[in-house]
Amino acid sequence: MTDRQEKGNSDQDVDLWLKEHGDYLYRYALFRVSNEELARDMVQETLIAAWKASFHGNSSLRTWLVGIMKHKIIDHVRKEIRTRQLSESLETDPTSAFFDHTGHWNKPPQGWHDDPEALSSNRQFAEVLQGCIGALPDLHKHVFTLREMNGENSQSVCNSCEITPTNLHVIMHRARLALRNCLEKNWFGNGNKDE
Amino acid sequence: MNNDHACKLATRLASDALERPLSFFEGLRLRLHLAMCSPCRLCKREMELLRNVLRRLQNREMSDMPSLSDSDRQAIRRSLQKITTGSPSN
Repeated sequence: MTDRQEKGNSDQDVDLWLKEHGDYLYRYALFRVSNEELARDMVQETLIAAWKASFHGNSSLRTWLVGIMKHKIIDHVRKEIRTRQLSESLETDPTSAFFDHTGHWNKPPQGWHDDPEALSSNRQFAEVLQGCIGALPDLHKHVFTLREMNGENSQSVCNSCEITPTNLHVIMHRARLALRNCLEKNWFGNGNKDE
Repeated sequence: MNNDHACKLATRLASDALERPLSFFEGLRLRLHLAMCSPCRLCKREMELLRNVLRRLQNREMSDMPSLSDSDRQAIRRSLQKITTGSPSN
């Protein structure tokens, strides 16, 4: 057949990869891009890229596949930012809503009574969190996703999103305050319900 | 300490601390503010919790999330077969 097979990957391999890791990769993508069709395409592209490369067994197969998927997610974000020319407006500051003109809290944060372990295994919380991230302005959403859900370091996010470190810090601050507010309203339930 | 934009600045420093090492004076400024501002202490803790939860979520199996549908699976299999058998894609 092809010389690919001599390198180690056969079509049976990819079939097995799809069978054993397809759902994991799909959920991994879906949690980050919140689009079923896109997530499916990403699984497909990941498996194709994996087949074209060669698995050397330095890490587990799944870790290797997830590594490829992470690159697909970076590529997707980079493309989105470029084609839609997303950039940060420094004139309009969305965090202004949270503070008065002297920079003090309009509505001070309430304590959250929960622990990370319980939250991270709570399906409903994951959904609310996903919704809050999805409600961020597009650039914030992409930057935050790469940084906190894809686990990229600051430098890598700056390169992928073509932003300066200062830009990154501004965006992360804005995104974190917005998410904090959204979670307080929609999950922790301590916020005023009269909005 | 300059009180203008105190909480807004403090939350920015607390967020920055998750991105880069703060300078000595930034760290001092943040600690001084937090010492007398409990809402900002909460905010800082909540931003850290958010990171902590997301780190854990990254490594979770998420077996309760939707899986690939049969038709998706078939579509992926077909496109993989095209590549692995070397037949031209169309």
